[in-house]
Amino acid sequence: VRLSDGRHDDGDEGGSSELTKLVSRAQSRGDSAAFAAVIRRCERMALAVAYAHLGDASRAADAVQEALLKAWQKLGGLEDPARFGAWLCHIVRNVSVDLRRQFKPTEYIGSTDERAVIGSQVCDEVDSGERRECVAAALSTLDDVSRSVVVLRYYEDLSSREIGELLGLSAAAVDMRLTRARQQLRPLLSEMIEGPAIV
Amino acid sequence: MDDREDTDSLPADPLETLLRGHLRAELEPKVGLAERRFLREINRGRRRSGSRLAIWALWATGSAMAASVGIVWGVIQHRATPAHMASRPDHAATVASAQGMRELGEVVEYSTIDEGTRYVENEGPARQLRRQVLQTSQWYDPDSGAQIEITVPHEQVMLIGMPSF
Repeated sequence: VRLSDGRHDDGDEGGSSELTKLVSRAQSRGDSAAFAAVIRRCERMALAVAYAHLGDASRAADAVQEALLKAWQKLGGLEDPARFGAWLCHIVRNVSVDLRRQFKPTEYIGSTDERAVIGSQVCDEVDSGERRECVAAALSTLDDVSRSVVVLRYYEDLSSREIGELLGLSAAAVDMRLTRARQQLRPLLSEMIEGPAIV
Repeated sequence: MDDREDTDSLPADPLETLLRGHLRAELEPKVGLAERRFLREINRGRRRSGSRLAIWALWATGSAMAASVGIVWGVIQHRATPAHMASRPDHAATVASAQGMRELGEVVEYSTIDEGTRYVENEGPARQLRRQVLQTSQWYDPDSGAQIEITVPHEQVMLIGMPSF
């Protein structure tokens, strides 16, 4: 899986093979510098997965930090360094689920349909200060897997095949979820996409 | 099918632009935190490991010295007060004589074995060295003409945190 290679100025070139080499080095020699380089490459992907589960950037960052420390401690148990991305993704998901349990919201959130209505109501009265909450509310109407697909695509810019490798889905399943997610989000965010109706 | 590639040539979908902008604004400020936290934890672990190793080495050396002194003292006392002399009236003089034994010399043999890299939980990799010491001391008792030789083995295991930069 190609992860954040093009976005860094740290001089690292190459794709998954470079990441695999770094993981192998960190694994066999306990090289913390190599693992720090792995973190630089994988942090955005991990943030995307955690954000998809938690819906909050600060908590997602906390989850990613915990997950990467766990990954470092358990690195010896990773059998295939080439599968590091999916393995880390699994750890991030577990940590995020634990965090979500700890900070379970007390208010009733409702079913997906009810949340869609809430999201739609919020977006009827949108101004620049509410855009963030509005998009977050719309994203919260998606199920966890579809939200992960959307966040990995539009934040990490991963291909369907790469997203599928991380989430254990086929590329076709990723495309299908992406299409449905866009269909679900478009009416909720129409006000922001098309601008308010002029009366 | 990779629909990211398929849509590259099409005009940007406003929904996609909105989502990209939102996610970037939310998550980009958090990038870099994980690496800083990781390096902080590693450095904290090294410091903790270093001080723990120093305390351990000090404790091991102290224990070995205490054991050596104890053995030497025990042997001297044993030699100084043999059972058949315990009831003799010149016992005090004998003890004084034993305490006045002449030290002939001391031989110390060292052997250091590199046992390779060990992974110390929560601390990272460390190099394990086993140092074995045989400390042999000899005394001569001019009164009885006896020669006393004591060999005290010491063993010290040192874990040296490996620099990974």
